[in-house]
Amino acid sequence: MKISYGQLWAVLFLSNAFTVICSAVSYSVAQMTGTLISVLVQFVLAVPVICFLKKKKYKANFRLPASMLFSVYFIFAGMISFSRMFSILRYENSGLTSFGNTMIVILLAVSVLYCCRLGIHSAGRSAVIVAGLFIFFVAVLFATSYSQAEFSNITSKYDENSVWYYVINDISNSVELPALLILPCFAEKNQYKSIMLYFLTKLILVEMISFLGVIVLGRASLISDSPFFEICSFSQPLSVQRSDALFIGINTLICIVNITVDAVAVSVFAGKYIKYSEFSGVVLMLSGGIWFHMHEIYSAGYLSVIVMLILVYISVFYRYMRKSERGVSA
Amino acid sequence: MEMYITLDYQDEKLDFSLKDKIKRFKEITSGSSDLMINEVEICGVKTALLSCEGMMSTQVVTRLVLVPLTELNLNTEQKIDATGLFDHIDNHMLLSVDRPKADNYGDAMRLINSGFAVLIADGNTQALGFGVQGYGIRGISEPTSEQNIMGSHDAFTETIRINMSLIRRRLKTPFLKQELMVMGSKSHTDICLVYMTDRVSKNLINRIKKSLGKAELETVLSSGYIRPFLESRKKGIFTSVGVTERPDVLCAKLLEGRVGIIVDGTPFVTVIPKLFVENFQTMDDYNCKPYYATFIRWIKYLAFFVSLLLPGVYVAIAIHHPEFFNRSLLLMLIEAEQEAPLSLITESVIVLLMYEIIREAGIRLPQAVGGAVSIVSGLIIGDSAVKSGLISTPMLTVIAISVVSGFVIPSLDHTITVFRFLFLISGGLFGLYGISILGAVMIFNICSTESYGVPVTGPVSPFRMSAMRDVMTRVSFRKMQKGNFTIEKIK
Repeated sequence: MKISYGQLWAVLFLSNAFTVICSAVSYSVAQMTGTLISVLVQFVLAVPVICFLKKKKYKANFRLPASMLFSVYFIFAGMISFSRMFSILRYENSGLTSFGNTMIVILLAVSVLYCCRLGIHSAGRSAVIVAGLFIFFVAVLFATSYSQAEFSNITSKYDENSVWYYVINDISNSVELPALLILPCFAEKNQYKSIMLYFLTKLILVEMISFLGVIVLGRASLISDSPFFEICSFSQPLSVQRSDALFIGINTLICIVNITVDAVAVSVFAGKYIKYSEFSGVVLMLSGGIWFHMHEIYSAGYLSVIVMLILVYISVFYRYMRKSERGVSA
Repeated sequence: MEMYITLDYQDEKLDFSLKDKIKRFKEITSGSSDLMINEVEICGVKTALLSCEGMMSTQVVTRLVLVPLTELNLNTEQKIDATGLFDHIDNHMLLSVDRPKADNYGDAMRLINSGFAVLIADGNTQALGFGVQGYGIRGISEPTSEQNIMGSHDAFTETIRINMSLIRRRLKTPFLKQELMVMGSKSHTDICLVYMTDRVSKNLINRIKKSLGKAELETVLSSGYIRPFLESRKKGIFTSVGVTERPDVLCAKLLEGRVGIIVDGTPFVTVIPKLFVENFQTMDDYNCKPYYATFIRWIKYLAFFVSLLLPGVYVAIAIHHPEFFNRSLLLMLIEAEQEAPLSLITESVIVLLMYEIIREAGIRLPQAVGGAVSIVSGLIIGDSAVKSGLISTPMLTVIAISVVSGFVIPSLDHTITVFRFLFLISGGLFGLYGISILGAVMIFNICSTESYGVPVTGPVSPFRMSAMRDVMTRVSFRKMQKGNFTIEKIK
């Protein structure tokens, strides 16, 4: 069963939203410019993919090396999602011990196992609902943080990092980029539209959150471990003290959707060759996530993503070129 | 244990002689007292009129069947036989509107037990049925579970024919098809498939018939017996089969390409397929201004979340995320909870359990005693529990708000009741993380549920803009009449 292009967009959008929520990058004008350039660079890189998808339908029948490579990527992406969840659990302390936090992550893994058994169409439909909820919550965040805004932060130069630092940072943080090349095979038609829509909404979301971060947090974002939740703690909707607790909920939902999509992808690609691929995939993701979190090596993880991105990019286009050559010789 | 012999008579042809036929009918019914056999000679032919006591109207059968038949005088020179008599009655006499024939014991017994008077004669293998039903029925009354203010005030009853007429009265189009069938090897319950031939897809009808065919039931005493066979997903949290007791609601659904299944003996009609958003739509929404209907609809959405999540979220925030509350609210809650001897989660589970017990008692008891239950539970238990400090006032308030919100969406009552407990426990143990994880499982479950290929989460996901006019808002009928929305567009 396939998903619609709107559902594919929701899956990609949520993947980016999770990155934005969990990011430790501070908000500044330089960061906003860097992110803008980064998104444009990513879009330019994706143009061949968009052209390819516009011309041809992309199906999920890959050979063993490609299937294994893609599975490894999705397991890797799942590991990063789990480790990010751990970092949020540490930041947004719910009064539980580290054992309690581990229990939450294990519970999350169990729920992912259940959700991925329901298939990609269920994940796609759920992604649309969760994306709608996320957009609603961001709108609430905007409306309620406005009273805390300090517009002089835009002109004050409190960040010493260069624009290029943020360009590299954003690209390395975008774990979902290789998925742009792989996930379209799950969509029925108009696959290119979801990628175009993804870049547009990513730009809007990232720039909007960054802008809010600059005017609300300003210099404070430099010392925060989780600037997004810092903004949330400043907003006070409906006479509540701070609304970051609300975003815990939506963040966990997004995390489950992301890891479920990763697990479903693993079962599709590796399922043909490995038994219990869903289960093994989720177990690997969870253990990898715990290991990443224990050693606090997130940056190395992100660097590996860039390597993976290049590898996947090459593999897909190698396949495409080979097919084109076959077409010419025929 | 000694049992009566079960006779396989369903396809057995009727005997030639009247004596044998009567003997066989008596054997089949084991001499049941309600089988009435009136032997009478008509134009020299020995006949018998068989009927079931209490199932037919004595007045009607006397006036319309017995009197004309006994007064029948055929001025023919030749002696008439049973076949000739039956031909004459069939072709020249209009004794009743509904006149089915039977040539085997199974069909004849079904007619007798359905309130027909069945005429058999000596010298042929046929039986003539006359529709003279006159059993005691409940009249059309107001709906009990789907009340409204400005819509019609009649509801379906237990009698299938009356229910069929209630639909026909509203949809006088020839495209409305009502297809009768029989289910249940023992009960022989009449089932009626209702649909609009110009709106419904043939594939949907065939699939529904196939599902019903798979239901090998002995009895069908209510629509609940066949509903599990119509559910596409067995492990779904939310049902994909709708139920209504309002003929106007059913007609609106039929016009959207849905199929209704009326079961004789049940005042609730099953509707397939059902979308989740339909739980929030009522007939009154279409009788008031669109802006008010939209407002009420959003109130219902809010009530759903409040009834499902409020106790869980309250406990989760109070235990795990107290920073969410503002200072004065937090101090108020601390003060209230300090008095309570039980932990917050235990206290909330006990209050919810007590409510469920009281509610069940209120439903099962006679109405007169039901009032007493409300007094005892509300005034005595509730008041004394708070005064003694066993239960804190904020907790009781939270549970009360949650329960009252649940009354806004009665069709989701079962799901809300169970999941309110689950959310409460997961929120108490793991805070908002626990609630989100359970919420995600719920979202994924409902998103995977389909009813004959129609996703129940439609038109929200998969998103269909054309159908959203009756989900987020309720547009005016000027806009509503354009486009001829059918359920197939959700796929």
